[in-house]
Amino acid sequence: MAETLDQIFVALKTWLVSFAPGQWQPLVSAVISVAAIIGTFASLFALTTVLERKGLGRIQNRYGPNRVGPYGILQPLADGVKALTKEDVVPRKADRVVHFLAPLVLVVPVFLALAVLPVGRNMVAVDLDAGLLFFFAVGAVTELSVFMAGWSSRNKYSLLGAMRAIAQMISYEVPLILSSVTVVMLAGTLSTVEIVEQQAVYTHGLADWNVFTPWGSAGFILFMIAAAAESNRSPFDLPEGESELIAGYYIEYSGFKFALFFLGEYIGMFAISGLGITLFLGGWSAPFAFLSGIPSYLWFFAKLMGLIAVFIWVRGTLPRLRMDQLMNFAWKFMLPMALVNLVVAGLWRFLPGGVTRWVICSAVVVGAYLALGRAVSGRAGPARRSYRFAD
Amino acid sequence: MSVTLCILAILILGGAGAAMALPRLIHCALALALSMAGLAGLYLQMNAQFVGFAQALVYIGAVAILIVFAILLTGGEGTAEVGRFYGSWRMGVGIALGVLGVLGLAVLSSRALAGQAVPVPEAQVREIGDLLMTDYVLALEVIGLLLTAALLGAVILAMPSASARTGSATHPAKDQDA
Amino acid sequence: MQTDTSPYLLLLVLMVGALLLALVPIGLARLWALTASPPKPGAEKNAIYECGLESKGDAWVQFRPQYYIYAIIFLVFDVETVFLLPFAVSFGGLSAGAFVAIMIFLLLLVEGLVWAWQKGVLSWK
Repeated sequence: MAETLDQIFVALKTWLVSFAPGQWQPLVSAVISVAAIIGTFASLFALTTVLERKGLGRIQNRYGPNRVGPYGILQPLADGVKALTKEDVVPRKADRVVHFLAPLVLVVPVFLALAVLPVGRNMVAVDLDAGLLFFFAVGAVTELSVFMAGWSSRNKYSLLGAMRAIAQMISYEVPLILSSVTVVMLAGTLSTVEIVEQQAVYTHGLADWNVFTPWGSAGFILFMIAAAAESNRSPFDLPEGESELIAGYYIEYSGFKFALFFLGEYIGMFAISGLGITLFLGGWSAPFAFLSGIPSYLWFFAKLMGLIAVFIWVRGTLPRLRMDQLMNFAWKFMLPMALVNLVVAGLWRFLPGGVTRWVICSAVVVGAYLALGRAVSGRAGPARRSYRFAD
Repeated sequence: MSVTLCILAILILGGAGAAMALPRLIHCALALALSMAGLAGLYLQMNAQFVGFAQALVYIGAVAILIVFAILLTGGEGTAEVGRFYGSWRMGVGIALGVLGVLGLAVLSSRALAGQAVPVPEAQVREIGDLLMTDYVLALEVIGLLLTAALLGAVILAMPSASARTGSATHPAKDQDA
Repeated sequence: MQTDTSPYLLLLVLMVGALLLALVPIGLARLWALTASPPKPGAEKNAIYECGLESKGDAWVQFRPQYYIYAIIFLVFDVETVFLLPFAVSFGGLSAGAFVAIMIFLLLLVEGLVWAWQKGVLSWK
């Protein structure tokens, strides 16, 4: 029973494909997978926009959207109609071709990145031998899209926002990739499917997730911080800080093109969270052996919603960073820390298993954290926080 | 000649041609990025997955960004009022012909043209890694040295202008937070 | 969703699907604009938006070289990760000597990074 439920979508697809004539079957199979990916994640986008506004509203002690539909749940529909009917204003001085292409160059790669994420057992669109590298390669294209949007608008604020966004994205991409390299070192493959399958085994009833090791937990934290910065989420949302840059690189976009930027950002956030789940949180596997009867795709999406909730929570809690803090943090803390984590992953393999391995690896991580923290902040330890304006 | 190869060739040559011909420098950089994407597709078509994705990661993600930053560094608009052919174009043509000759020799002497079946390489990432860490480990260290030298050289070249130009910002918003 | 064919077919279909997802609504919006609400462009409306103030000067100006320095350092580390990934994949079967070799490779780059840090290049001003 559990097995059937787990594989129900795979079986459904096989059944649908069997209707197509022989030589069309690969194409039909691809179209069904693509429709499933786009449909699922686009609906998730619609849901998340409401949840985010609701959640932020609650954090800020207000209601959030509550007019359209019960509890405001139909708000995305209203937003969609609004985006479709608004006039598409393009500035006179803008570079019209690049201005039109920029949202497309954002939306296509972020959807492509979803293709290598295994959302359930046997449920992955493509299992590439270099899947992880594919993810980072298509992710790199979004930087170009941000630049195209900012530059083609010919607006000072949008170009400044784009430059900031790219500086931020390239700075955090290095720690992002380096923290995933640790997983690859211990998994021995770049295929996302195999990485998940290696984590879906249980010792003493507990899953072998990478996050349950010293290098894995340090890598996961580094990865998620870098992921927040890569997807321009608060507290790394300087590129679109509305109080200083109006809205960053997409000021001059209106109507559905603006909605596409919104869509691209959220899908990018889903993709990078999904990669974090795949690499560190065991993908579609259950945390405990006795829970593995629950269908695998439910686990994946539960984890995804959990990470999104954390993103919303962080956005409602932390203030925005300053540009110099942002860049210093990337190059002087995240990058060295990710490099140390590589060494820790190497030690983890060469040291004999047992408690000593745990102690040594954790000690290296904590020691590096303390030393780097001291070097960057210039303080010896945690000091009492002083509130200059609130005391 | 497969259809994929034709499309990729059009993409690469069209992008490269546009990169030379377009009047606005940023457009040229974007066209170059398109050409790079076509090259990545060409690698994929030859079953070289790792090289193809690495090409996309490095050339679209990093080199294209570096080029547009360099263009904005030199003054943004950059429509220089010089002809399309300037400087020592004879030398340029000479170098281009030389490169073409070397490539042509390599193609002519390859086994594909002699009618022999070329074994399709199954370049799994693991094999690349094994070779990189055993036979080519010295090359790896030399590359590391080269990268470090490139880092030092580029930073030294860009640094003096950093101290000279920060004071003379012409941008109203840039003074505060660029 | 097993993969029985070339993976690139699916990626191509996904690309087309994502493009359609973007282009179809833009087309619909254009259709709506043509039939129900014709655009009314104006000098003020289609000007650059700078919070109501009139825009002064061009946006395409010279940017500070610090962006360029960061891009260079990023490029170097990006190339480095391309070499690290195959190493990481075959790490399980490698000897300790190979690990030392890659550590030397990393140390060379770290040396460059430390040098840049000492020179103050990494500090955003």
